[in-house]
Amino acid sequence: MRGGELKILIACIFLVASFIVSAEMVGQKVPFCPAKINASEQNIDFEKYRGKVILIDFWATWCPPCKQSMPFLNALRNELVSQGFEIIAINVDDDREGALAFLKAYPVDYLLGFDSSGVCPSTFDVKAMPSSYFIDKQGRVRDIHLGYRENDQRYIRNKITELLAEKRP
Amino acid sequence: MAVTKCNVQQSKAVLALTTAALSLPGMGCKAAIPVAEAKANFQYGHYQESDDRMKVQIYHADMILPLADRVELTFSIDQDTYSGATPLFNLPQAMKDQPKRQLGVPGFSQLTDVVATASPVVGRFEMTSSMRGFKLFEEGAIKFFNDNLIAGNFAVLTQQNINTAGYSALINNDVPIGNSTNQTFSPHPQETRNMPVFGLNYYFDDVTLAVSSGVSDEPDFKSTFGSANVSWELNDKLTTLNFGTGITFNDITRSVSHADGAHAFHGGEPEYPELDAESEFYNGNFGISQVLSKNTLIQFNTSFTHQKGYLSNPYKLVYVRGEITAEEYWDLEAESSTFQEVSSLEMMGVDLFREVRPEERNQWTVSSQLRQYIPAADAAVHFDYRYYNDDWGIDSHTFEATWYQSLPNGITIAPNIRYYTQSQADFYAPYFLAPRADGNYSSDYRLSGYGALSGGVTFTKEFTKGFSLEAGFEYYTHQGELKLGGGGEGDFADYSSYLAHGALKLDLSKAGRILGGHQGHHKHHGGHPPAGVMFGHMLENAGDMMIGYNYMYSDRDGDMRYGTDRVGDQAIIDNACGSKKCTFKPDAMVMHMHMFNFMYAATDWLNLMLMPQLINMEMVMEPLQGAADDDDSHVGGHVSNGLGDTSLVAMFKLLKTPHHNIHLGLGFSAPTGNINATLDGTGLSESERQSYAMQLGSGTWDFKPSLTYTGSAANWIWGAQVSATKRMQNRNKEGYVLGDVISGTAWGGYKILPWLSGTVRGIYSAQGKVRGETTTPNSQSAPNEFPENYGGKFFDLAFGINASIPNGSFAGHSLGVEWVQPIEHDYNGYQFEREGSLSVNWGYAF
Amino acid sequence: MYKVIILWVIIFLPACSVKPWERGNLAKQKMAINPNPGLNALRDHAFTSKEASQGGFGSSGGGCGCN
Repeated sequence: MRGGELKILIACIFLVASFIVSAEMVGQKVPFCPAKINASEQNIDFEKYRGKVILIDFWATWCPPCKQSMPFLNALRNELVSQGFEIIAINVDDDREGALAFLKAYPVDYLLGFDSSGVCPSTFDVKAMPSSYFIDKQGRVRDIHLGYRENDQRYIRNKITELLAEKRP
Repeated sequence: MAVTKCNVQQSKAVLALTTAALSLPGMGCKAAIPVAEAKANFQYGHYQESDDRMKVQIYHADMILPLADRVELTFSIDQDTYSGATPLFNLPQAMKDQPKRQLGVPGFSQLTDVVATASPVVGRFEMTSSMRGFKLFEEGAIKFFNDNLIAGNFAVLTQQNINTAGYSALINNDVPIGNSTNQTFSPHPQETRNMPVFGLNYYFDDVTLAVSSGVSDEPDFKSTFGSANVSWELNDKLTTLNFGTGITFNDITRSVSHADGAHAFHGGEPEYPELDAESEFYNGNFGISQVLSKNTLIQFNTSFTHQKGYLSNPYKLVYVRGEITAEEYWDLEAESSTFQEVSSLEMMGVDLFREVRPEERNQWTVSSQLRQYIPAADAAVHFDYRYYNDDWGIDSHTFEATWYQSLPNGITIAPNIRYYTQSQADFYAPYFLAPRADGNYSSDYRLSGYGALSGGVTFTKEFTKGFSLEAGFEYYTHQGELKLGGGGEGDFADYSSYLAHGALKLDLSKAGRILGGHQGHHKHHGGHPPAGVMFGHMLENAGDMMIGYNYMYSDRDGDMRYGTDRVGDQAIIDNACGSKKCTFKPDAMVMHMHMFNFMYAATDWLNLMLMPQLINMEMVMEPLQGAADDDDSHVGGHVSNGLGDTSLVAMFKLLKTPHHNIHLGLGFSAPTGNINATLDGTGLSESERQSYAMQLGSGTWDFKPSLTYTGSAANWIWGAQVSATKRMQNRNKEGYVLGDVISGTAWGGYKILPWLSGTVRGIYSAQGKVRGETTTPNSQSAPNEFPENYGGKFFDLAFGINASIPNGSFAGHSLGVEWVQPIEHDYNGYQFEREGSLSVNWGYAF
Repeated sequence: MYKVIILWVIIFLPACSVKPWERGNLAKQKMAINPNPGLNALRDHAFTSKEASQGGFGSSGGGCGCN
């Protein structure tokens, strides 16, 4: 086996190993990852949202269910923001310009982060597009929801409400 | 938790579905998720072969609708109209243009093909008598006579032996090596094929199930088909497995007017049975799709099809020497044998028979598809290869490459090249100099060995409003010498063709809808006017769009009328055909009109509407009692199918209050419908024209104004409209112009449910007669061929039901049905009476 | 036999390294197996009518009495 294939084989083994690792994300503290807030090129700091319930949503313009979920998420966020809920959507498009053009046509009110390097989704061990990570008031990952269908709205809403009802630490 | 992922393999169920279902609108990342919003596609194709061979116009529309979270409905409809000439049979040059005696003319003054000398339909003796007129026959007979006379073999000098020797010299005329092959064509009158297909897709988490079924219907071939496909995504959706199966049932007949070119059976010898055959196809396929890298996708497919039943072409013929021996031609002359006794093949000429293919065919294919993205160019290159093999001895290779290049401004250009090579079928030959043991024969060029090369390019422009336009062109050349490995058919069978197409693809969702969700959609005030009212509805807000389909059906089989009264045959014969005597009258007329409309609200008060239409008409005539019996131009009925005139209308909102609306429509009808439909179906300029009623359009630019008022209060709705059609030209290309039309209608209705209403409507219309007359002759034997027998004043009553969905997942759809019943009429001249007609209207506003 | 397995492994191993968020390019319309179903159905119909080979790209049925 040549060097290239060997590396890939090892990567594959790690990937398989990571399946075991991923199940452990739930219950962990939300990890840092370099998602830039657009104009400022500053990284988003999840620590700032301690005490709030946040939904970290990985999305891309090439992903139709991602785009389909946005109106619902926007409406949900605007409804519950006063209760201490925020959404941080991390866009993983290779081409940020395309994502910005899309957002100009279909704007949302929640916080947007951009990471085309692949580090953020890798850190979060994203398994599907879209992926929603429910973070509680203590900054821990409590649930991961893969994909989006219209029928998922109730589940998402219930989960957020549940997490909002928990007492602040 | 739902494990729905944005899957990217396009190895979807569509690939295993029927050809028609391949027209489902595609979408990036589609594979394992239903579409978020409805999509519709409209496509037009024009296929044309070289040398005035086949020509086909293809009209296609399809739609994909999300019904529920995991369910999609698909529908497509195709209408092809084809005409032109197709190869009928081949002959060696040695059998063509042989000198023959002509009655009353000395010497061998005629040059004719031996096969065509006299059809078996004229009878055994007459056919063989015609064969004896050939110089080859005479020379053979005389030689036999002289040789045996000189040798002293007087006993063999019987009529039988002499004639047999003559037949032998004729039918066994030497075909030297390298003798060229000559192809005879048969003209193909216009025919239309319709194919509706329905499908349903269900999306589980990792599995997608797709089923579809449809019908393909043309005068001599009716096919019913269905298929099911399961696709299963594995390995984090990097791998997809596809399993599919399909089944097809066909009913095959032979159109008499089309069959045999110059030979048409009129009940003479040899009375072969009419064709009424069936065939069945069973298909299974399996595929595997694999993502190789973030820029590479590969797929492998294999399929098997088993066909059984009547698999031959009902029209094509083969030249087979030796199937009937010279002795047997004598038996036919002496009428001691029938045609059926000398050959099991159906005889269509001297040594000319209907082709026979095996009753079973097993087909295998193995193919692979590679999709490679090239980031530096923002382009994708596609390589496809297919190997095909069947038990008829045919195997083929197909290589295809396409380069999809994205350009700025939403433009994509996709050049394509394809190379195809096939070997010939075991039972194929351009002609046969000896019979085959298995009794299978075909000279169909499509079973020969050849190669084909084609190249084309398609341009697509995506506009921001979620709609794109596309146009493309492909040139194809079929040549024997292009066959891989050589040994292809001679160049007599070479031809080329081109396929041009245009398409409109629509995303049926409003720009803001992705954020607004399904609620806050349209508020429909009074609903839509009855289905039979044109230009009666305007859109609410600027930027709104609407697509609609309107179907009108009428089936008339009533009496002839003059003015307000019924009229008998004798009066028609004497008076309805100008200075001539009529011999035919209409007996039945069926008409289907398919109108598609696209409406766009340019501003709050201005709507623009485009309305193309497809028309299918069939008229059956019957002879008038007591008329002369010598004209058969109307036997068998006439059809006329194709694109009609296209309307372009601007609508202006004049008044809009909660209870009342008034709008003005100003528009034109463009003469896109052909007005040269001919009785023989060939469309040739010398052929007699069909009547004015059977032409697809008016041939003139027509001005179409209308003024519409609608009102509503509580559960009551009402309205009225005045409209006209004013011909803007004095004469059309054929030398006439249709009468002007003015019409007024008023209706009232009640909302039975908030979304459902019933209406009653009265319609008054007056139409002038046809002015001028056709410069290309029509047969002048029926009332509908004379301009004075058109137009009149009519009063009809109509009853309708309308459903208009304001919210929910079907918001924006409206469906209406209306039956229009003629009540009073005053016809100009002699006319076939008008009867009830049905209108169905579906619209979708978004 | 060994060679086939190694070849298969070598070909498909890179697939393991394609992550869910790296599928943007594969999602593009032009990377679909059938990016233009309307046109391909039309072409497929023309080729099936004029050539002896049928199917291979999934077409089954949809009968045509072509001649």
